[in-house]
Amino acid sequence: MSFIAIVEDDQDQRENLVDALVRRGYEVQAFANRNAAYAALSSQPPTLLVSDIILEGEFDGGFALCEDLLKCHPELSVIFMTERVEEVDQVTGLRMGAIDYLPKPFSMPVMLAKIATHFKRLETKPAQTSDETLTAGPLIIREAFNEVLWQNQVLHLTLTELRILTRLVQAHGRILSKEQLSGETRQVMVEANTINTHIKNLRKKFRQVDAEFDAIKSEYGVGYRWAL
Amino acid sequence: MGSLKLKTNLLGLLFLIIPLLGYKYWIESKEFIVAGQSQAQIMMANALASLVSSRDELLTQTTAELAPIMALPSNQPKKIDGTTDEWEQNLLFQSYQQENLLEPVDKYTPEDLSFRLATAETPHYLYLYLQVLDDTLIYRDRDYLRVDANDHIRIEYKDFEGNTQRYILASYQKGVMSAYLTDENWRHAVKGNSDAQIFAAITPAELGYSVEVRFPKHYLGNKKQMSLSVVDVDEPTRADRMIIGTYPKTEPENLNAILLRSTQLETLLSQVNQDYGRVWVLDKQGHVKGEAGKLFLNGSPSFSLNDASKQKAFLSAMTGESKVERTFKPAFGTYSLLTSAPIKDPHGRLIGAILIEQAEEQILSSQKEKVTNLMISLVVVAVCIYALLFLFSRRLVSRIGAFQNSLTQSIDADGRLKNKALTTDKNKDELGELSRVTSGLIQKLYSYTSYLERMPRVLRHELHNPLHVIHSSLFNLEETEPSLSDNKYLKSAHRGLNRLDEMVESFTQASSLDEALAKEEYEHFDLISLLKGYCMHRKANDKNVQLLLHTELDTCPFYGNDYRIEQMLDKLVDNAISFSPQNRTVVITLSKREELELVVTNEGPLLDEALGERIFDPMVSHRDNLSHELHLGVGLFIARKIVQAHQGQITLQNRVDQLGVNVVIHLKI
Repeated sequence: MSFIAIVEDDQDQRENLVDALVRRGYEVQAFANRNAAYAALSSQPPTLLVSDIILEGEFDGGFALCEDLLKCHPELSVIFMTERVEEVDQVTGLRMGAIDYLPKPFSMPVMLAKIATHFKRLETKPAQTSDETLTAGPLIIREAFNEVLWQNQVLHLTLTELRILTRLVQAHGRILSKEQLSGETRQVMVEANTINTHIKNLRKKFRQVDAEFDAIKSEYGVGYRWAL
Repeated sequence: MGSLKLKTNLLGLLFLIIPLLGYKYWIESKEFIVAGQSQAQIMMANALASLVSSRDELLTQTTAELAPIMALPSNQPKKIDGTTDEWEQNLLFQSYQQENLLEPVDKYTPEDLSFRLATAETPHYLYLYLQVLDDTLIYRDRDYLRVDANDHIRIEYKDFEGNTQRYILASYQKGVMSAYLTDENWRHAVKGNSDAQIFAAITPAELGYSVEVRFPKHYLGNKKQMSLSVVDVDEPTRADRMIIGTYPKTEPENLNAILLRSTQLETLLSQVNQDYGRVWVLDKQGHVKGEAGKLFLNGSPSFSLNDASKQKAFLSAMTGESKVERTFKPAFGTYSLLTSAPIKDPHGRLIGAILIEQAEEQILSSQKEKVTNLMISLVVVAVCIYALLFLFSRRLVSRIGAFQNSLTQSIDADGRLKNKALTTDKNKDELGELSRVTSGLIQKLYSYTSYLERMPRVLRHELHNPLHVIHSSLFNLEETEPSLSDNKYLKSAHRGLNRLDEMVESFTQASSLDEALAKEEYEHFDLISLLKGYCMHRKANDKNVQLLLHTELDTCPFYGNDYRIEQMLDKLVDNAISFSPQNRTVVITLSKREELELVVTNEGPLLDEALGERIFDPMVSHRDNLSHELHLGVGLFIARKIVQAHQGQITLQNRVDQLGVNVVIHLKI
């Protein structure tokens, strides 16, 4: 049975999300804490788990639940609702294709769109991740595998860095504003410096393998541009 | 700076006044001591005068007008060998020359015959030392029986019966001489043998000879009268003779008085006089009858009435008055006190004088020593106290300095606390207590400040959930009630919510700025490219903004964080635009001298100068309420933070033409 599991300790937020999803015809099960969720979901995994990270006083409750469930259901997709984006970014041990996050306060349309995308992907390529490869000169990106090669050398990027890089490369030299790029951090309100930091880190990682790297240009007053 | 240390040191210097005061006291007390000593000396002189007044020595006056032979007391017997060995202290010569010739001669030079006489006495003997100048020394010839047919010495004295006795000292060769008792013509020896009691020796010298004689004192009578004469004979006749004597020819019966010191008197004087310098007992004629004590620590001059001051003192005593005179002794470089007092016999007749001379050096020596010791102790104590004060003040100042440092270091330029507590002073005194109390206050302040600093983030975290609830509720409301989608209240609720979102974000941004700036990485970039790109893109994005860049520079290498500089421009340009709502023109000027000067200028209302630096504080805004945009007053705050992170300065000034405001930024190249 295909259903979405919502784990959120705040009743209002939980109900608002549940209502919105139910209205769109999704089957939804909602839980207020980790134990209740695990008890119900370990035997009957959902198609998609949407979870808060801090759960009723458990600081890493969402992470723990996700980890436990992935052990017995590796195919599980997870979306975290949190402002702890950096930490989610660092959870690289998990299968990246299956992990996503939305920082609070998120916009409901974005969340619903994201959920819809997940379901669509599950339907079109069941149990199969995309092997789509993006190339630009000496750069090869396999987003689904979180794999980036520059001049045939592997770069280890975080989820957000990978998304920003993909977005820049896909723009084919057009300038992307910080606002446009901030979508890739999944945050609704992004402090502009967050993008800047990600760009800095990206450049640094490129320069570790190629000191001459200068393909990510700063366009002061707007944003950034990929230019080979 | 360091004035506390200076003050303590200056105060410490006051301790050096103590030895100065000591010195002043010494100078003043010196006068006092000398005056006191003068009185004491007069009393001493009078006491000594009455003590010696009954002594025989002064009463047995010689009436002779002849120059006496002065015998100096000697503390050691002398070996009779014709040399001056053992005579050092007693070689006070009296000279006898032409005027003492007993028989006239045609032609006289001192080389023909003259002699010098030194006399010394011990308790039993009188020692005589004669230095005779004689061109030829004629010894006694064994062929002559007469004892006077050769160069010889005659001794004449009065014995106890008052009879005159005559001895001739003669010798066959150098060495021991024989003393023969002779008749009154000095021609023949009365006895065949020489007198062994009188012992003499002769030593030839280059221009004559020397004779040393030991004469028993008990031969002399009460009047102690004795005369000496030297007889020179010459070859071939040995008959012509030249005689020089201690008495003049005119009074052959009157012999010279031997002036003997009274050892008893001197013993008495030295017993009484321990500390009063040199004491002389003089008889009526001014002859020294006894002396004792020391004038100077390093020896005493012999007494002589030739010394004008002593003569004066003696004469004054002989008028019957006691007197003290302070005189300078050039030879010794010091002053001395000379006291004189008359000696009177029981009938009140003047029979002599007492003279006491004492060098001030001696009077003051003991006091001087004491004062010197005191002064040395005072100086040592003063220096020690000063050194202690110096160390103490240094320690105090360094402790205050350390306290000041730890206090200044605990607060940054913006008045934020950096440290949880101060490095406290472990000492248990007031300063240590102050440091601990202050540290405690800092600790409390720190926890309060960190609470305040955490506030925005806690607030953001806490606000996010209710904001999210409102967002999702409004979303659901719109979805479930499509008729409300154009509801103006719902729209205003959305607008309010968005402003709340931005506000929360601004709070967080401002509060976490320091932390974020500290982590920022700096690199070299071209400021001109940045400014050009920035102006171009800003204009492209917002057609309403007129952004002009004025600079004469083509490139401007700069070390900093490009993103932060861009953010600063954002804030300043936003701020400038909001103040020039009419023409929305902002001019950016970059010039380079010793520093980079970046000016962002706009036309619009002037700055309230009373605000001063506070204009940069968060939440301070000087705009009126006409603007509908969101203004939390964090823009300038962020801009200043960024400028400060780049070690620059930012100021806000009204334009000289009073048409608007300049934001002036100075950055190091």
